[in-house]
Amino acid sequence: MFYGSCCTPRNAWRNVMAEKSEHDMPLDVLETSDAYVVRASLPGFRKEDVEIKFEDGVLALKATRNEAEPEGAEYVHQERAQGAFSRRARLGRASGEGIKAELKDGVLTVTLAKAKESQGRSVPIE
Amino acid sequence: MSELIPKEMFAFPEMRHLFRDFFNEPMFREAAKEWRDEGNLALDVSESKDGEVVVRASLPGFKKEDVQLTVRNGVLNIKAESKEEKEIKEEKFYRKERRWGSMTRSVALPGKLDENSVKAELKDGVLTVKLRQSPEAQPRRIEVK
Repeated sequence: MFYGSCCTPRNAWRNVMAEKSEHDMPLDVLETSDAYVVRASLPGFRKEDVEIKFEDGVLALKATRNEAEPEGAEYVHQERAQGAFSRRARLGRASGEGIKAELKDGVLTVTLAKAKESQGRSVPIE
Repeated sequence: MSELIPKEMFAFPEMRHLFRDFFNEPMFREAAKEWRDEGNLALDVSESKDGEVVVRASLPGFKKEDVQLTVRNGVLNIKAESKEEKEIKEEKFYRKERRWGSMTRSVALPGKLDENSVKAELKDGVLTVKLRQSPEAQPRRIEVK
Protein backbone atom coordinates (compact mmCIF):
# COMPACT_ATOMS: atom_id res chain seq x y z
CA MET A 1 0.00 0.00 0.00
CA PHE A 2 1.02 3.56 -0.58
CA TYR A 3 0.23 4.54 3.01
CA GLY A 4 2.25 2.93 5.71
CA SER A 5 0.33 1.76 8.75
CA CYS A 6 1.52 4.88 10.54
CA CYS A 7 -0.49 7.10 8.28
CA THR A 8 -4.06 5.93 8.59
CA PRO A 9 -6.17 8.70 10.08
CA ARG A 10 -6.63 6.77 13.31
CA ASN A 11 -2.90 6.29 13.81
CA ALA A 12 -2.16 9.87 12.89
CA TRP A 13 -4.49 10.99 15.67
CA ARG A 14 -2.89 8.57 18.07
CA ASN A 15 0.46 10.12 17.24
CA VAL A 16 -0.92 13.55 17.97
CA MET A 17 -2.00 12.19 21.35
CA ALA A 18 1.33 10.58 22.04
CA GLU A 19 3.28 13.65 21.02
CA LYS A 20 2.51 15.05 24.39
CA SER A 21 2.82 12.54 27.16
CA GLU A 22 1.66 15.07 29.75
CA HIS A 23 -1.88 16.33 29.71
CA ASP A 24 -2.92 19.90 30.28
CA MET A 25 -5.13 20.93 33.12
CA PRO A 26 -7.51 23.83 32.66
CA LEU A 27 -6.57 26.84 34.71
CA ASP A 28 -8.16 30.08 35.85
CA VAL A 29 -5.98 32.90 37.11
CA LEU A 30 -7.66 35.70 39.01
CA GLU A 31 -6.01 38.88 40.08
CA THR A 32 -6.92 40.99 43.06
CA SER A 33 -5.14 44.12 44.22
CA ASP A 34 -2.76 42.16 46.44
CA ALA A 35 -2.76 38.57 45.21
CA TYR A 36 -3.11 36.10 42.38
CA VAL A 37 -5.54 33.23 42.77
CA VAL A 38 -4.95 30.21 40.55
CA ARG A 39 -7.63 27.56 40.22
CA ALA A 40 -6.99 24.29 38.45
CA SER A 41 -9.46 21.50 37.73
CA LEU A 42 -8.11 18.28 39.17
CA PRO A 43 -11.04 15.90 39.48
CA GLY A 44 -10.20 12.63 41.19
CA PHE A 45 -6.81 13.78 42.44
CA ARG A 46 -5.76 13.57 46.06
CA LYS A 47 -3.53 15.97 47.94
CA GLU A 48 -0.57 13.62 47.66
CA ASP A 49 -0.94 13.38 43.87
CA VAL A 50 -0.21 17.08 43.37
CA GLU A 51 3.11 18.92 43.34
CA ILE A 52 3.34 22.71 43.42
CA LYS A 53 6.49 24.72 42.75
CA PHE A 54 7.11 28.42 42.42
CA GLU A 55 10.35 29.61 40.94
CA ASP A 56 11.43 32.76 39.11
CA GLY A 57 7.91 34.06 38.83
CA VAL A 58 6.58 30.83 37.37
CA LEU A 59 4.10 28.59 39.14
CA ALA A 60 4.48 24.97 38.07
CA LEU A 61 1.78 22.44 38.82
CA LYS A 62 2.23 18.70 38.38
CA ALA A 63 -0.27 15.99 39.13
CA THR A 64 -0.67 12.29 38.53
CA ARG A 65 -3.89 10.36 38.43
CA ASN A 66 -4.00 6.61 38.07
CA GLU A 67 -7.48 5.44 38.75
CA ALA A 68 -7.74 1.70 38.85
CA GLU A 69 -9.96 0.13 36.27
CA PRO A 70 -12.93 -1.45 38.04
CA GLU A 71 -12.01 -5.05 38.71
CA GLY A 72 -13.17 -7.61 36.18
CA ALA A 73 -14.58 -4.85 34.02
CA GLU A 74 -13.87 -3.37 30.63
CA TYR A 75 -14.22 0.17 29.42
CA VAL A 76 -17.08 0.68 27.03
CA HIS A 77 -16.23 4.33 26.73
CA GLN A 78 -13.17 6.19 27.96
CA GLU A 79 -12.55 9.92 27.72
CA ARG A 80 -10.95 10.79 31.01
CA ALA A 81 -7.18 10.89 30.72
CA GLN A 82 -4.93 9.08 33.18
CA GLY A 83 -1.28 9.63 33.98
CA ALA A 84 0.64 12.85 34.28
CA PHE A 85 -0.81 16.33 34.03
CA SER A 86 1.24 19.49 34.18
CA ARG A 87 0.90 23.18 33.71
CA ARG A 88 2.95 26.33 34.17
CA ALA A 89 1.78 29.87 34.61
CA ARG A 90 3.91 33.00 34.68
CA LEU A 91 2.78 35.31 37.45
CA GLY A 92 5.17 38.19 37.07
CA ARG A 93 4.31 40.10 40.19
CA ALA A 94 3.93 37.24 42.67
CA SER A 95 6.32 37.60 45.58
CA GLY A 96 6.84 33.91 46.22
CA GLU A 97 6.13 34.33 49.90
CA GLY A 98 3.11 33.16 51.77
CA ILE A 99 1.83 30.79 49.08
CA LYS A 100 -1.25 28.89 50.13
CA ALA A 101 -2.80 25.88 48.43
CA GLU A 102 -6.00 23.95 48.96
CA LEU A 103 -7.52 20.98 47.14
CA LYS A 104 -11.26 20.65 47.48
CA ASP A 105 -13.92 18.91 45.39
CA GLY A 106 -11.37 18.32 42.63
CA VAL A 107 -10.33 21.98 42.39
CA LEU A 108 -6.88 23.15 43.41
CA THR A 109 -6.73 26.76 44.59
CA VAL A 110 -3.32 28.40 44.97
CA THR A 111 -3.09 31.90 46.42
CA LEU A 112 0.08 33.89 45.81
CA ALA A 113 0.65 37.30 47.37
CA LYS A 114 1.90 40.01 45.05
CA ALA A 115 5.15 41.78 45.73
CA LYS A 116 4.73 45.35 46.93
CA GLU A 117 4.72 47.60 43.91
CA SER A 118 7.87 49.64 43.65
CA GLN A 119 7.01 53.28 43.88
CA GLY A 120 9.41 54.39 41.19
CA ARG A 121 12.17 56.62 42.45
CA SER A 122 12.96 59.98 40.99
CA VAL A 123 16.62 60.28 40.15
CA PRO A 124 18.28 63.62 40.52
CA ILE A 125 20.81 64.70 37.89
CA GLU A 126 24.16 65.46 39.39
CA MET B 1 4.27 17.41 14.64
CA SER B 2 5.81 17.34 11.16
CA GLU B 3 7.36 13.98 12.01
CA LEU B 4 3.85 12.61 11.93
CA ILE B 5 4.24 11.98 8.23
CA PRO B 6 7.30 10.08 7.06
CA LYS B 7 9.38 11.53 4.26
CA GLU B 8 8.87 8.53 1.99
CA MET B 9 5.19 9.24 1.77
CA PHE B 10 5.66 12.27 -0.46
CA ALA B 11 7.27 12.37 -3.84
CA PHE B 12 7.61 16.15 -3.64
CA PRO B 13 8.93 18.05 -0.64
CA GLU B 14 6.38 20.82 -1.28
CA MET B 15 3.60 18.44 -0.44
CA ARG B 16 5.21 17.50 2.82
CA HIS B 17 5.51 21.18 3.68
CA LEU B 18 1.87 21.69 2.85
CA PHE B 19 0.93 18.97 5.32
CA ARG B 20 3.29 20.26 7.95
CA ASP B 21 1.83 23.74 7.67
CA PHE B 22 -1.66 22.36 8.01
CA PHE B 23 -0.82 20.51 11.22
CA ASN B 24 0.81 23.64 12.59
CA GLU B 25 -2.23 25.79 11.90
CA PRO B 26 -3.54 27.28 15.14
CA MET B 27 -6.98 25.99 14.29
CA PHE B 28 -5.75 22.42 14.05
CA ARG B 29 -3.67 22.75 17.20
CA GLU B 30 -6.69 23.99 19.10
CA ALA B 31 -8.82 21.11 17.84
CA ALA B 32 -6.15 18.60 18.78
CA LYS B 33 -5.86 20.16 22.22
CA GLU B 34 -9.57 19.77 22.86
CA TRP B 35 -9.28 16.17 21.85
CA ARG B 36 -6.24 15.40 23.96
CA ASP B 37 -7.40 17.03 27.13
CA GLU B 38 -10.55 16.64 29.06
CA GLY B 39 -13.44 18.41 27.48
CA ASN B 40 -16.80 19.30 28.81
CA LEU B 41 -17.94 16.75 31.37
CA ALA B 42 -15.60 13.96 30.33
CA LEU B 43 -16.75 10.51 31.33
CA ASP B 44 -15.75 6.85 31.41
CA VAL B 45 -18.18 3.94 31.22
CA SER B 46 -17.16 0.44 32.20
CA GLU B 47 -19.04 -2.83 32.22
CA SER B 48 -18.13 -5.80 34.37
CA LYS B 49 -18.75 -9.44 33.57
CA ASP B 50 -21.14 -9.84 36.45
CA GLY B 51 -23.39 -7.13 35.08
CA GLU B 52 -22.36 -3.93 36.80
CA VAL B 53 -22.11 -0.70 34.81
CA VAL B 54 -19.96 2.07 36.29
CA VAL B 55 -19.92 5.63 34.99
CA ARG B 56 -17.26 8.06 36.18
CA ALA B 57 -17.58 11.72 35.26
CA SER B 58 -15.26 14.65 35.98
CA LEU B 59 -17.13 17.42 37.76
CA PRO B 60 -14.45 19.50 39.44
CA GLY B 61 -15.78 22.14 41.81
CA PHE B 62 -19.34 20.89 41.78
CA LYS B 63 -21.24 20.02 44.91
CA LYS B 64 -23.77 17.26 45.49
CA GLU B 65 -26.67 19.66 45.32
CA ASP B 66 -25.47 21.06 41.96
CA VAL B 67 -25.89 17.71 40.21
CA GLN B 68 -29.08 16.18 38.84
CA LEU B 69 -29.17 12.63 37.55
CA THR B 70 -31.87 10.81 35.63
CA VAL B 71 -31.93 7.33 34.12
CA ARG B 72 -34.54 6.48 31.56
CA ASN B 73 -34.67 3.76 28.91
CA GLY B 74 -30.99 2.96 29.40
CA VAL B 75 -29.85 6.57 28.99
CA LEU B 76 -28.13 8.35 31.85
CA ASN B 77 -28.43 12.11 31.88
CA ILE B 78 -26.10 14.20 34.01
CA LYS B 79 -26.86 17.84 34.56
CA ALA B 80 -24.60 20.04 36.66
CA GLU B 81 -25.17 23.64 37.47
CA SER B 82 -22.72 25.59 39.56
CA LYS B 83 -24.10 28.14 41.91
CA GLU B 84 -20.67 29.60 42.44
CA GLU B 85 -20.79 31.23 39.04
CA LYS B 86 -22.35 34.44 40.25
CA GLU B 87 -19.79 34.90 42.95
CA ILE B 88 -16.97 34.53 40.44
CA LYS B 89 -18.21 37.31 38.17
CA GLU B 90 -17.09 39.83 40.77
CA GLU B 91 -13.47 38.87 40.40
CA LYS B 92 -11.05 40.04 37.78
CA PHE B 93 -9.84 37.29 35.49
CA TYR B 94 -6.33 37.24 34.22
CA ARG B 95 -6.86 33.98 32.42
CA LYS B 96 -10.00 31.87 32.21
CA GLU B 97 -10.12 28.34 30.84
CA ARG B 98 -12.22 26.34 33.24
CA ARG B 99 -15.86 25.87 32.39
CA TRP B 100 -18.47 27.11 34.76
CA GLY B 101 -22.16 27.35 34.90
CA SER B 102 -24.28 24.69 33.36
CA MET B 103 -23.08 21.44 31.81
CA THR B 104 -25.14 18.56 30.63
CA ARG B 105 -24.40 15.20 29.10
CA SER B 106 -26.37 12.12 28.12
CA VAL B 107 -24.86 8.70 27.64
CA ALA B 108 -26.43 5.44 26.51
CA LEU B 109 -25.47 2.60 28.84
CA PRO B 110 -24.79 -0.95 27.70
CA GLY B 111 -27.31 -3.71 28.29
CA LYS B 112 -30.73 -3.72 29.84
CA LEU B 113 -30.55 -2.05 33.21
CA ASP B 114 -32.34 -2.41 36.46
CA GLU B 115 -32.94 1.32 36.85
CA ASN B 116 -33.90 0.98 40.51
CA SER B 117 -30.40 -0.22 41.36
CA VAL B 118 -28.77 3.14 40.61
CA LYS B 119 -26.29 4.46 43.16
CA ALA B 120 -24.37 7.70 42.85
CA GLU B 121 -21.53 9.33 44.75
CA LEU B 122 -19.65 12.60 44.25
CA LYS B 123 -16.16 12.69 45.71
CA ASP B 124 -13.17 14.91 44.96
CA GLY B 125 -14.88 16.26 41.86
CA VAL B 126 -15.58 12.82 40.39
CA LEU B 127 -19.13 11.54 40.08
CA THR B 128 -19.43 7.75 40.21
CA VAL B 129 -22.73 6.19 39.13
CA LYS B 130 -23.27 2.44 39.52
CA LEU B 131 -26.08 0.45 37.97
CA ARG B 132 -26.82 -3.26 37.68
CA GLN B 133 -27.91 -4.91 34.49
CA SER B 134 -31.14 -6.87 34.79
CA PRO B 135 -30.56 -10.61 35.09
CA GLU B 136 -32.36 -11.32 31.81
CA ALA B 137 -29.91 -9.05 29.97
CA GLN B 138 -26.92 -11.10 31.02
CA PRO B 139 -25.64 -13.87 28.83
CA ARG B 140 -27.30 -17.12 29.82
CA ARG B 141 -25.75 -20.53 29.52
CA ILE B 142 -27.92 -22.79 27.47
CA GLU B 143 -27.65 -26.46 28.07
CA VAL B 144 -27.63 -28.64 25.01
CA LYS B 145 -29.69 -31.77 25.52
